[in-house]
Amino acid sequence: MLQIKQLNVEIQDYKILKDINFKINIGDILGVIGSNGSGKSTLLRTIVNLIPYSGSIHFDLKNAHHFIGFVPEEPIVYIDLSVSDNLKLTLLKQGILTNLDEILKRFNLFHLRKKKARTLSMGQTKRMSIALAVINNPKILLFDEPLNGLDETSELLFYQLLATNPHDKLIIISSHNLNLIEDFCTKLLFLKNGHSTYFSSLKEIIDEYGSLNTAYKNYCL
Amino acid sequence: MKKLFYSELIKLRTKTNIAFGSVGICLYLLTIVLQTNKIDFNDLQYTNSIRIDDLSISVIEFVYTIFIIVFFTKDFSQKTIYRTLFEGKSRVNIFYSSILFIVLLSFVITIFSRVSISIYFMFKGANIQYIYNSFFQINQILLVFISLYLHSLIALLLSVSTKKSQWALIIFFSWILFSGLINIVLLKNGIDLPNSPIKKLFLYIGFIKSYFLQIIVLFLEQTVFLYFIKRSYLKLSWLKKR
Repeated sequence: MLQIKQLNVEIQDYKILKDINFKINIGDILGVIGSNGSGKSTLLRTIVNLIPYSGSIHFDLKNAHHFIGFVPEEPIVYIDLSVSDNLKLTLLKQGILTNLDEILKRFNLFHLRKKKARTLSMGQTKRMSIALAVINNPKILLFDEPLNGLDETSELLFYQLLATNPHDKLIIISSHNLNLIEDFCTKLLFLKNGHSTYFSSLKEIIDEYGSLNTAYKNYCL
Repeated sequence: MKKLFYSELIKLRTKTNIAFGSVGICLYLLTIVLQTNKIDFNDLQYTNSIRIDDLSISVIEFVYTIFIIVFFTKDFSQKTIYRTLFEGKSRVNIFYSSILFIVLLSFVITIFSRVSISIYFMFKGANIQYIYNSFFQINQILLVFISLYLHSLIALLLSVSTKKSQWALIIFFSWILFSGLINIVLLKNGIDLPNSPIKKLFLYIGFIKSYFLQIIVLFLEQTVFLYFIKRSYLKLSWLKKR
């Protein structure tokens, strides 16, 4: 379970997130929707301990941060290391033993394993970033604009990932892609200028507004 | 912390780092060769001493400081420091593993510098007793180690506070220039500071005669550096200014 209460993030008296409250459980897939600058990325970065905040972020898991996988919008990898070394480094930091080849094959990275990360295309780097996030089979997964830079094949890989065992995970996706949100998310959080304007289940939103697009226009623009 | 430390070692194994290290070693050996090319090693008595450490160690310190700056600022420019954070490591953990890394690296380079000088002198035919007396003195080893350690602390402090290699390097070169100018001014006024690595690093320590006081001053200096480095790590945040 993840419960966020009165979450505020500010920089030099400028409030980026204001009084965010929500609660989601294992098995939920939360979609965070909002226009540019609404605070989507800041919210995800705050949850993964990258930004100081006031309020509370409570995970109902011991050592929760060891069980979080995060895919930032702009992939963060060691560009001077090979694909394989990048994955090894993450495994080493987390003290996990797993079959590296299996992960490489699953994300269609096996043929690239000896290539330096700096030589990869944007889509390949993003795929590696996703592989790095799921390598330790985390209970909590956060994706910031996951489809940016992915080609159709890689998008399919990502959809397969979401469709596999989502019931024992808590997933948060921040995206502009309403189709992705509508296809996979069970709960939605709308953000506008750092405020949470609406939080509800997808079903209730569709029942109330008829389409996600209408709700988006109502709460985010 | 141990896992983080090992991950730093993996990051060391890149071609750029190996090339950097090789250039440093070549410069260091070249300095020694140029300083000793007129000495007949066969005639050396073990009671004689050749002062070759000042310049050669300065070369190592110089290359080492630049290396530490480039190595640590890369983590900020590539944002990989945030990867370590969101992979579940705390800011304090990152701080301790960085310090452990530079302590061990300073130690390894100290030993390397001593051993390589000895091998070179042996190769040139110097007396074994002479080599032992000149280069395996514990106080000399400590001096080089502390000097390298303090240089790496300064490099780390510059890296974590500027987060950009170009700014850290500009500050470092300005400081070198400033130290050089101060040295020239002091020399013109008839003040010749003993030229050991540490005294060169912190000019005013040259004025402290007591060995005990020097140790206290060095300890206080490293504490101040550690405090500011830790503070910078604790303040790490991936937030764009708006």
